[in-house]
Formats: sequence, C-alpha cells, structure tokens
Amino acid sequence: MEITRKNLIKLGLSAMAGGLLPPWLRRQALAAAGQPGKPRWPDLVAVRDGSPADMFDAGIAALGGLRRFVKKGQTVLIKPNIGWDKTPPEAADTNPDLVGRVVAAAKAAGAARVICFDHTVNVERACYQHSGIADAVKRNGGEMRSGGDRRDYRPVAVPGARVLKEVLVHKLYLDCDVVINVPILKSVCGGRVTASLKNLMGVVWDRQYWHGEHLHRCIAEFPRLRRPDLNVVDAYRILIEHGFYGTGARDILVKKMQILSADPVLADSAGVRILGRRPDRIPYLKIAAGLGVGRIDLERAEIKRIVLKA
Amino acid sequence: MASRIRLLTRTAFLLLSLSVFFGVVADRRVVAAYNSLHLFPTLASLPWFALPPLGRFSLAAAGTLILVSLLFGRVYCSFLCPAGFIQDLARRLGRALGLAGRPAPGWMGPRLFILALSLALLAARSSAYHYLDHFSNLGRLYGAAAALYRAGPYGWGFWLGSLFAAGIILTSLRWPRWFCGAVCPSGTLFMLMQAVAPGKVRNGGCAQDCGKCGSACPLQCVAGGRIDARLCNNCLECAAACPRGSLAFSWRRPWSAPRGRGPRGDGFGMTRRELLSVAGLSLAGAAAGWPIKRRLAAQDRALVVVPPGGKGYQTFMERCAACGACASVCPTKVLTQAGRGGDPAKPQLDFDSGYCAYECNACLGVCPSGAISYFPIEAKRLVRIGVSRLRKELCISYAFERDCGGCQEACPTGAITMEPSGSVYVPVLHEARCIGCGACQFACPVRPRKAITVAPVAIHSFAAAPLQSMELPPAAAQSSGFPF
Repeated sequence: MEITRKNLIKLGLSAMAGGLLPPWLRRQALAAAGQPGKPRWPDLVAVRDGSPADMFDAGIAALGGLRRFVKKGQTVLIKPNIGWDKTPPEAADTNPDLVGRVVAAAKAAGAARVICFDHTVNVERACYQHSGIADAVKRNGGEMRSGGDRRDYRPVAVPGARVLKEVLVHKLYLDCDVVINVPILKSVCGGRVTASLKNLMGVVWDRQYWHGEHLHRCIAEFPRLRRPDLNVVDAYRILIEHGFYGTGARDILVKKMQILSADPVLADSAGVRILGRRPDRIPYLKIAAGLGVGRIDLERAEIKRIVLKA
Repeated sequence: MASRIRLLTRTAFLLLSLSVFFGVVADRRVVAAYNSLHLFPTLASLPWFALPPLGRFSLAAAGTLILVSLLFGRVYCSFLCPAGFIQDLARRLGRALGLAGRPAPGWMGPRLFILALSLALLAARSSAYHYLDHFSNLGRLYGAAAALYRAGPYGWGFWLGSLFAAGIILTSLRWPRWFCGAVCPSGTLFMLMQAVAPGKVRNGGCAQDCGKCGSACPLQCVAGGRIDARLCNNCLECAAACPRGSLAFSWRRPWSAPRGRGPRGDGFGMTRRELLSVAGLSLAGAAAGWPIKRRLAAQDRALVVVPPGGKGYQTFMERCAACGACASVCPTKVLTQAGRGGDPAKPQLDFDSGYCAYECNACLGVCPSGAISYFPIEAKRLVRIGVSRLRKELCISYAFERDCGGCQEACPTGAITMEPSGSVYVPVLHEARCIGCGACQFACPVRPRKAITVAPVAIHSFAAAPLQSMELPPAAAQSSGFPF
C-alpha cells in the first residue's frame, strides 16, 4: 500500500478502532448479559443510621457477604486506625465495636487466624488499651500483635513507584492472605483527609520518610505493593477539624455512616464527600487514580445506599 | 533458719525493687513506701515526702525503717538490700573460685569522711551524693542491664551503672561486701545505729575456737567468737551456727553495754589515735560539701529539658538522685540518662529519640528524691517543659512548598495549626498552647537539623488550654443524607 496522507489516516483510524473495539464490545456484552452464574455486586456500599457493628453487617451483606473476601482457613489481617492514645468518643481511632464485629465476621467466614495490629504514633500499649480495640479483638477471637518492633518489618520494592521505591513493611501485611482495612474517616491538614489509603501508613516503619519526600505521592504509590481486599470506612463519629488528635467535642461530628468497598480510592472519595469536600481536590486521591490503584469517579460507580432504621 | 529467712526477704525485696524500677508496680502508695525505705533520697526529699496524700505511707515506711534500725542495727543491709544481695552472690562465686576468705578492711576514716560529705552535700542542696550512695548506683545498675538488653542508649547513666556493677562484684570476689564496709554512706549510717542498738548478736565468752561462726559469716567479720562491729550486719548467721551458744542474739540497754573496750566489746575498738583521725576526716568531709556544691554549680552547662514535675532546670538538677527510675518507666524512652547537657548522669528529654507522651505521667510517680513532683494527668498535660521553635527555612512546607503536616499531626494541644498558603498547607506555631512535649520535633522528617525543635525553659510553667474549635462544621458536612 502506497503511503499517502489519506492511507495513513485510514490506517491510523482502523488501528485505533481495532484496538479499542474488542474491549468495548466485551464490556457491552458483559453489561448486557451479566457474568453468567455470578451475581454482580455494587462497587461501593454506603450505610447510615445504625450502630457501627450493625451497619457493617448490613453493608457486607450487600457486598455479597464476607465469604466473598475470606476463604476457609485463611489468615486475615484487620488493620484499624489505633494510632492515638484516645478513647472511642474522641473519634481518633476506629470504633472498637466495628473492629470487633469485623473480627467476628472473619472468624465466622472460616478464617483460621484473625490478626490485628497498628504501628501506633502514640505509646502502643496505651493506644491498644484506651481505644478499646485490643479488648474488642480478643473478645471476638482475634489476636493483637505489636507493630512497634523494627525486626518485624521487611524492605520491599513498590512496583512502578517514583518516590516510594523501597519501603519497610510489616511482615503481617505482606504474609497474610486477606487484608481488611478498617480506617476511621477524619479531616486532617497535611493529607487533608485520612481514610483507607492513609491508614496504610500504619503498616510501614518509617512514616517520616513519607512526610519528608512527597506525602501525597507516597500515599498513592504504596497500595501498588498490595491493595487491601476490603475497605470498611468508619464514619460514625468523624473529626472535622484539628486533625488526628482532635482537641475537643466541637471537632467531632456524629454522622452515623459507613462505607464499604474493595476499592480504597473509591471508598476514600465517598469519605471526602461526607466531609463536604471534593475528591479531586485531594492530591493523593488524584495521583492514586492516575496510577490505577482505584477510581475516583463516584458518579459512574455503582453505589448501593442503605438506610437502617433504628 | 536465719539464712532461709534472709534468702526469702532479700529475694522479695529484690523483686519489689525491680518491679518499682521497671514500672511493673505502679501503685503510688507502694512506690512511695518503697522509696522511703532509702535514707538518702528520702532525706533529700524532706519535708515534701511527708505531704499528703501519700505522706502517711512514706512516713510509715521511713519511720519503721529507722525504728527497726535503732533497735536491731544494720538489718536493712542484711535482710533487704539488693546491692548487698548481689555482693553476697558474688562472694559465693569468689569462694568457688578460691578467691574469697578475707574480711573487707573496715576503714573507719574514709567511711565517715564519705558519710559526712554526703550529709553535707544534702545540706548544701546538692545531689552529688548519688555517686556514693547505694540506692542511686543500684538504680543505674538496673538501668545499665536494661540498656544492654535493649542495645542502648549508652551514656553516662549506663557507664556509671556498669562501673558500679563491676566494682561491687569484682571486689566482693575477694573481700565480701567491700562496698558496704568502705563506701556506702547509708551503710555507715546504719552502722552507727547498730552501735547503739539494743538487739543484736553479741560476743560471748568463747573458749573453744571451733571456726563455725567464721565459716557461716557472709562478711567474714567474725572469728573465734569475736565480732567486728565495723562490718557486722546483724544477719544472725553466726549465732545460728554457734554450737555452744556463745554467740547469740541478746537484748541489752545500750548504755549498759561495755563499749570501746577493744574488739571484745560492742564498740568499734578504736584507739585514741584512730578516733582523732576519724573525727578529723569527718570534719573534713562536712567542710568539703559546700565547696564541692559550689564548684559543681559553677560549671556552665547547657540547659536541657527536664521531666514535667521537675519544676525547672535548677530545682530538678539539685534534687535528682540520678537513679534513673523515671527513665526506666518512660514508655517512649524520651527520658534518658545519656544526655549531653546539665549533669549528664541525670535524666533529660532527648526529642530525637522520642517525645513526652501527652496521656502519660509515669515518671511523675516514681521519683524517690522529690526531684519530680506528682501531677495528676489533667494538670501534667498543661505543664510546659520547653517551647517549640519553627525554622521556616528548613521546613518542607515553607521551603519546598510540599504538603507534610507531620508536626501538626503529632501535636496534642493544637499548638500547631496548618494554614493554606498557595497550593499547600504550612504549619503555624501558637506558642501559648505549646507544652514542649517534643512530639513535633520527633515527627519532623527534616534531617539532620530538624525544622521544628524544642528549646528548654529554665522554669516550668503552665501552658494555655488546648485549642478548642470555635467554628461550626461546613454546611455540607452537616447534612444527614449521603452527599453522593
């Protein structure tokens, strides 16, 4: 074929069509027929107006039950936010009732071991105890582990990272079969919002490196190492001002909400909206979406909304 | 029998002292009573140690100790003291190695010089006695063992503790309890009390030198039925071993006892010449206290951050007995005896290795010398031990225009807020609310010089109440429905 301008354009167009058509056709076909035999589950489930534990029960049922995520005999890591020496009403750490219920559900789904830890910011023993989480985990048959021993952390390379090329990660996060991320939703200044993605800072040793190099990029790049299998964002009580610690009752808003999704970016985008902000204004969410960690477009996601009546 | 009881009491007391030192027992009544069983730090904390609400426990313990010592002599040393226990174990080792066998030299002159000096230092409000007394040294010994276990930090406290451990163990291989008989000022005080004590083992008329008392005595201070009153700890081992009852515990009014009549009497058997030299050395020790204190105080040392409850740099350094109990119970290990400023053996806060936890007042409850006063947690949260300084030219957010917020994230009082500046948020310091806990310095990722550091203050004060939010949440956040 003679290479003329006309031919070149033709060739280009047909190549584009040839490349784009099959996936598009496939998606259309799938959307029309659904996957045979497999029900389709929503991308995100949002629940409100119940207790944290009840909202989890309703939410996980709508996502197809925890058995979709946890198989018999597996080791499950539950990663709540236990970073702060604060009590449950102060909303700095994940709600202990919720963590307890997740542990119980994982056990009921057949998990061999359910382990829970956080690399706390404040004194670990005080955080574990005062947050009520250690008690809730043990009561429901889970194990509390320490995140404070450097020897438990292994250096691993993050695939395709530009800033966070290598990172010391807790062996439990690397070795367990299933990761259930159970953050609490908070508004903070440096990262602007903390939920699923930022909660993963609690499984690495050197958080200061993240702050020092490029906080947003590090937060966005880390899940490329391993994305949590399920994210349960606790938005029952949320801190809307003065960041991680919170300094008083005025900073706390009782929203009675919960978000469940396998996609941490999508879950965080919903969390950002609950805080009255826009997901595309949170730098790390935008970067994470660009890196393919998850999606930021809530409008196009399939969302199931559940309102529990007390 | 006597040895079994002593094994029991000394093991129990060793466990108690380890439990208090490492924070296993945190009941403040137990800690106060335990601390008051030690003469020197207790004397240093006079009269505060008797104040309510725990004063009655301290008073009861200290009163019992002094009463028992006045009645029975040096029983603290023989039935309780962990440092003595360690030396007795070392003596057994020495005997196995064939090194032991000689009594320690009961030098009266040097001992009384040390005692007089220690008391004079106390009177001059200097805690330099901590280099000599067993309590501070024992604490540093525990601390050194813990530092070895944790692989650091190695500083003055560690080296002093190691020196003490090596000193008492090595000398005891040959001379049992050399430290107790030659250095320990508490031991010398107890020795003086034993001289007037009515209840103790006394020399009997022993005609037959069977040698059983000598081999039973853990201090090698008895031979042929004669006890050396300079060394005797009234442990009763010799009396238990004596087949004829020549050596026996007896009860006699002190003034009716024959004293100063050679080794056979209750007294120290000093000649007039010895007595004069002892008196001279005691006076010299007493006179040396004030000049030594002046000399130490004159050394210009860098101000450091001292624990909350220390009230201020100078007050803390004057009272601190450098035992390291506070550093040992510190959960974040920000308190170390490996500091660089002040008196380097005394605990100070090193914010590059930790920060002072907001919800913790563990160190405030263990101080034996009154250097750290107790505040309930509500008050301690407001005690300002230093003030943060922010160097904008080093700060990531100011200098490189990148989001960081590490300091604000860690700040427990809201003394740091993040304000929008261009495309990023930058930290703004509100000094009035800063308590100098160092959480920001510890969290700051800038190396090697941190962008935010705590500057020590000479005198502690109370900071303003933590930040309270005055604004209402954004309207969008208030709606009860899903915003998506």
